Amino acid sequence: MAPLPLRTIAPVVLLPLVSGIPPTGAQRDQDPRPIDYARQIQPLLQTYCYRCHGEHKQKADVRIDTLDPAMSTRTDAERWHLALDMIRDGEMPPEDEAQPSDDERRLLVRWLDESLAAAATRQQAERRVVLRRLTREQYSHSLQDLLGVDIDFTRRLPQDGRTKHGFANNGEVLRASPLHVETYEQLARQGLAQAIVTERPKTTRYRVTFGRGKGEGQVAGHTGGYQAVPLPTDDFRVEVLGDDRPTDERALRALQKRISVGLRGSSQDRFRTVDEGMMLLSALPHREVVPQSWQGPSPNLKLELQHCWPRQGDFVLRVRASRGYVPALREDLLVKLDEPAAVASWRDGDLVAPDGAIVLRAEQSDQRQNLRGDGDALLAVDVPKASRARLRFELPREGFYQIDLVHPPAKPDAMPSVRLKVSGQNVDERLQLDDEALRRTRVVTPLGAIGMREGRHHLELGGPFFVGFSHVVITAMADDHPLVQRLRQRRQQQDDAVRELTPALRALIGTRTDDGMDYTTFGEPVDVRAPLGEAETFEFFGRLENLPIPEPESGDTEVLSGFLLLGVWNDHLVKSAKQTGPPLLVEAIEFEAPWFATWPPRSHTDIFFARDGRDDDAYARAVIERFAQRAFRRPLQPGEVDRYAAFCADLRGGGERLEDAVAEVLVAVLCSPDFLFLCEPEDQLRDDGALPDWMLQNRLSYFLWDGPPDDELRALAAEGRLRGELLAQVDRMLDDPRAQRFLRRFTEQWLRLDRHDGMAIHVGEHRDYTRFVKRDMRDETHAFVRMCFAEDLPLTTFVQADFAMLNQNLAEFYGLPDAARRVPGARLRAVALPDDMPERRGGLLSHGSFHVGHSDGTEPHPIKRAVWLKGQLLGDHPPPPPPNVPDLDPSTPGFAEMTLKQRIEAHRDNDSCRDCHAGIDPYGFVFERMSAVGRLQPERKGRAVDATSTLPDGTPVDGLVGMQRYLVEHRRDQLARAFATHLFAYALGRDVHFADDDELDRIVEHVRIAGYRTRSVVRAIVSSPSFLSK
Amino acid sequence: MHRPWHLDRRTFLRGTGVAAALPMLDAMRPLLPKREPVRRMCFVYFPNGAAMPAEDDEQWGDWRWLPRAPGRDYQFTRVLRCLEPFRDQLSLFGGLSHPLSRELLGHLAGDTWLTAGDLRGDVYKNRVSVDQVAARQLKKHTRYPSLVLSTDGGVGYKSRTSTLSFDHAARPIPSEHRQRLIFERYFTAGGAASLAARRHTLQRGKKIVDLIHEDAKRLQNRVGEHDRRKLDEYLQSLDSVEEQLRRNEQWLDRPLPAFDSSHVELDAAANVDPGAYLRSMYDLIALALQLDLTRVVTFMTGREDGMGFADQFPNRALGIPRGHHTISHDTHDGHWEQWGRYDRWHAEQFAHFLKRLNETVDEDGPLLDTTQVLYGSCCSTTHNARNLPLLLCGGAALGLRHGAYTKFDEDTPFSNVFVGMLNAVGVETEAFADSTGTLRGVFRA
Repeated sequence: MAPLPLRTIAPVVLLPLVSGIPPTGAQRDQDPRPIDYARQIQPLLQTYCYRCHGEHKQKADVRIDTLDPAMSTRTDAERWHLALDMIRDGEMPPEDEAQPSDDERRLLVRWLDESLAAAATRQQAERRVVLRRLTREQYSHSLQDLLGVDIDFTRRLPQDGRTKHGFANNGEVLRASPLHVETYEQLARQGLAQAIVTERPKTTRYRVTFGRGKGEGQVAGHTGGYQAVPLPTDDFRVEVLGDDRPTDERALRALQKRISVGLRGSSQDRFRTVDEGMMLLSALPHREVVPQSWQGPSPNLKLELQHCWPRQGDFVLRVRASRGYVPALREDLLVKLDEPAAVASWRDGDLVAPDGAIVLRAEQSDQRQNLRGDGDALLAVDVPKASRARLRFELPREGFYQIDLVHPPAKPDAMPSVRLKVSGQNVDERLQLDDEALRRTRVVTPLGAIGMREGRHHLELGGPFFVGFSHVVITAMADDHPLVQRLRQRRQQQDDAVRELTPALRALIGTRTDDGMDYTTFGEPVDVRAPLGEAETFEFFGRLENLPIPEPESGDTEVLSGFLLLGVWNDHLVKSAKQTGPPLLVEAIEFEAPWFATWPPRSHTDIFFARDGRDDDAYARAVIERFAQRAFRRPLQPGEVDRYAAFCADLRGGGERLEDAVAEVLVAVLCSPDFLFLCEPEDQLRDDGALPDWMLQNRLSYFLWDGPPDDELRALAAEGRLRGELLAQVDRMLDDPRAQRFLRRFTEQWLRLDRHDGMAIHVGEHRDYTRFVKRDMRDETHAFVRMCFAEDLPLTTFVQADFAMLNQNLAEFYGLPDAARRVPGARLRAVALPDDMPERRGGLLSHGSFHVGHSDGTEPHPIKRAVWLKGQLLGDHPPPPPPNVPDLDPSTPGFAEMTLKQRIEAHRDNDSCRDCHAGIDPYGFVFERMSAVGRLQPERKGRAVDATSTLPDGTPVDGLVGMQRYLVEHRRDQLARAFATHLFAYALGRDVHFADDDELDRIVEHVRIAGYRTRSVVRAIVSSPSFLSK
Repeated sequence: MHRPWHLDRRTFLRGTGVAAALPMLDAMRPLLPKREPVRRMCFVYFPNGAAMPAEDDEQWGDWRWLPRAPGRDYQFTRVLRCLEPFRDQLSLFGGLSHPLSRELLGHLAGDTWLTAGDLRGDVYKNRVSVDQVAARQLKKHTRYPSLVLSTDGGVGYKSRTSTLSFDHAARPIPSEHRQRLIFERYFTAGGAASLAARRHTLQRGKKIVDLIHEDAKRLQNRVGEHDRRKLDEYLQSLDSVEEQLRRNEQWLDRPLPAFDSSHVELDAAANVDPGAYLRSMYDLIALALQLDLTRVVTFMTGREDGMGFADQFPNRALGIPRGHHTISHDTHDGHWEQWGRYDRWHAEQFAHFLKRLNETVDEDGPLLDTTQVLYGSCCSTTHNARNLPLLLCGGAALGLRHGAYTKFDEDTPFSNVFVGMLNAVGVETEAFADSTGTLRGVFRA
């Protein structure tokens, strides 16, 4: 049986075409004569429908002639319902086909309406909530709550099936396979083994302290490999502080050797070891090109721990950090001199250079191109062609240096030139030599000044019309040189520019792979406001089992295997290598695992509570009883734990310890259907079919918290007071942090954020669409929906909002610099948007997650966007395209220059596609000015983008803004009904179907009276008969 | 449940030397009840791709792993000529790859050979491997769901694994590599864990299932008709888990049939005599299949990127003074020949395996007829994860039709091969990972 469509068109807008037809409800009362299908209806269908929806053709996959007119099955009734909507709204038959008379249309509509009403009554049973297995997330939340351990239990469970409309909590769809049964047992054992403790495990604790020379004479590791950026062991110190510290000196040194520090993925000029620690400039995300994009943003700083870390338990990463400063010199300061004057000179056939200057001779150069030797000089072979030579040198200390070139003279008509290149920076000089100079054998030309660090460097000379050279002289400049003073001032300005900004710490954990790392961030980023010299310690907590640590049992002896990476970056993200951002100083990083808040942990004492003098059997029974009652989320029946207690006694008889025997019994409890399913046995329902409070408590908490009820709900239910306080509880629950789980799940499934997650954006076209932009776009939508619920905003906010939820990264990406300044850093906040950026004031319609998820990776995809708007926001899910739909035809004239919109229009001329697409595409063209990555793009392929459209009802709409106005003014009720319908399906974990129409009508009426407030939808659903009874 | 053929086989194997059994088996065959043949699959992987000089390169075309012209009349190059005796029992595939791995550095693609997982982002999203999908269904027939073997053992690390198999949660399954340990664990009564401990674990599992069963039954009487359907589904799953536990327990009591393992060299060392090592692993696999210990085997003969023992195989076996990984990067004159000679040597060891499978006969005929063997790598030449060298052989009794070399374009994902292989062992599925169908021609439509 095909999945049933979620079909929710309300007859809100009667189209001009059918304006003569009175509402069908009234019609029913007026004309009591029964209609004869065979005599009155079938001939009409034959005339107007069968040609396209009959034996020979099934347009839009619809066939009417075989539908059962008695509507005895739900599927047939659903299909008739679809036909009713089409006929009533005048969408069918299509304009260019023969049209039924008004009387005929009225007759058809009346018959459909009456038959459907009768079918709905007959099929009430289909509307019941079916027994639901806990979803992966619900299972995990329930187990975490019961055991008090934060293991993410979803990771090993199979994915839950989704309905056609994306919901993953549908009772019909959720299966319980043998794989589930096996996994449940394993997870119960894993969880209990972590919750119940015996002796305190030894703690592993390493501290790594950074700073120039801090590691001299100490033992530490050094890890190389492909594209490695290892930190020299002199610049960090490794301390082993845990209980498992080897007492043997050799073993300790061996351990220290397995701890190294790496910055793979970091550009050398974005970090620097200074005396105080490690200076990290703001992280610059890589373009999404492998392998750099797998290596974390630049810079990122990681401890690399090889085979020397525990595999389980909570852990803490402590980072000692403060604000930093931009290290004194950077290599990108290559400038021309203010008053060019050579410091070296040529006298009597000899070079005269100041004391301490570095003199490089042409013959020392390598990588030469287009050069030939001429005495001690190198000259261009083919003068107009680019030449090249490279010279290496080493500086004793950092500072500013002047670079002089010694070269043969050349007349102006030879256009003598030179290009100097250092660290990717160029200086180009066109030489103007006077007659005096032309008479000499060598000329000395000052090329420029550069700030450089101590150590090895290289420079390149050459370029087209290269004058040639014999020497290069590098001379240190005095501190009071005006140029040096000016450059220092520039550095100062750079510092000032970031002084108001705050660096932030973001923690990461992962596994070293050969080309990058399999990593994730954990915890929330924190702003670092501590001034330089007053570092503070920041703690990040995680659970090892939940994170991408190296696989256990590696048994691998390769030198690069088994590396756990733990580290940080400066999370004040920047968009260009020229920006330093606010620098961050990291003094030390410490890793401790497993970490316990208390000992013994609460997970243990919650299960094995105080014995209070009970003997073993009585105590075991009490423990099991209490656990089972919480696990089953209901009062236990008399004698219900007898079998469990007997099993326990049995195990005890076999010699098991009390804790082990009880744990074994708890495994059974956790595999019981009473735990794994939301059970609603009929013999416990009230006489009128209403749910008792304990069932209601579970429906509520698995709806609004995606997890088990808390003590307050349980207490209210136990006292029979829950139903009376229902709405107050709904508000309390929505205000509770656990409601975020529900909102995330629902938002993700309702708005199909999975499409955004799965979209591969063309990096060449959209270079700055990084994983961090992607993450923030997803979070933007979540934060926005959360805001609508938190502030109980009207539902129209979904398509019309004067604010957006942004952080600096996303605001900059969207091209909103003013907004970006108001939301510095990583945290998404509400920011008001002025009238002059209307495209960003469309609520969900403006979200990057929508535009990206409904693009083709390069360009906007109007059809996908239309289908999303119609389906997700208006509740009218268009049928999927028929099989064998012809592709867009590249042989169409001018195909390459066409935008996707134009290609689709050409495609639509295809006869078989036009009917459906005429009802869909116009909703998508309005978003044409929003690019594949959600940016305003008034021009594409060199032409202004046309985002005008005429909707099927004849309304002309211009762009996103026009659509927004149209929805708010003309489709408000439909928006409300669609939202209510989606939420209703989610709340009950079942498909919505035509027999629900009446109930949804009442819900929408309630929402209308409540001023279309977001929470009123939840209240109305929770108060509906479907929710309150079986 | 008692299957008569188990007894038949046991009696049969005990009474005879295996290799010499053919005439007698033929005599027995008409007497055996007609039933579906045993269905098996085996995967053999080599790292770093294969020599693939340009087809039209006259000088080096000899050393191309894949032949030139497709069709049934293709000519083996010198590399695979040793497989000529099995020509009618094998198919060559050109042009196949995993779409999600195409852009990866070839070495990384090795992690996805049997999974078609997605490793492109900073999150390692691998998938269950095809052998484990089959093992899940086939394990009910055998003592062990699968054998996971490699030359290096363990799981390696993400991006450079030393196992081909990933479980249903996409976690790598540790591989085993020491013949003697493998032999002791799987070919002797009791195996590594003590019999008593395993029995204890199984009985504990059964007791728990009993308890849950009671819970579910009790609940079933109290819920409505719709809910009962969902509970039935759960009960069925419980039953199948229980059945597996029971079967596992029965195996503990059932002794292995007598067999001859004198031909298996249990101490061949990979770092001393690679040929002897590979052949003995192949012999062990054949023996495991013959004894029906399992019907699913994966064997990774080497790790990617010059890691592990196999990198020195070219040197130890052929005296080529370079590691396998270096050879795969080499560009000196004659490098294709060097690589091709190594590929040929590797194929010769594989031919030993096919010969063994072909000569070992059980009541369904030669093992090769009931075993599909996929042989290949996850890059073609130097780190290019496209146009993989792939060869599928065996399985005539499972409906496979061989004899041709077929070139595919990139619209056909490699996973289509897996769909066919799964169907051929009775796993009814229309899809695996990113498949778009099955391969026509080789597999039954």
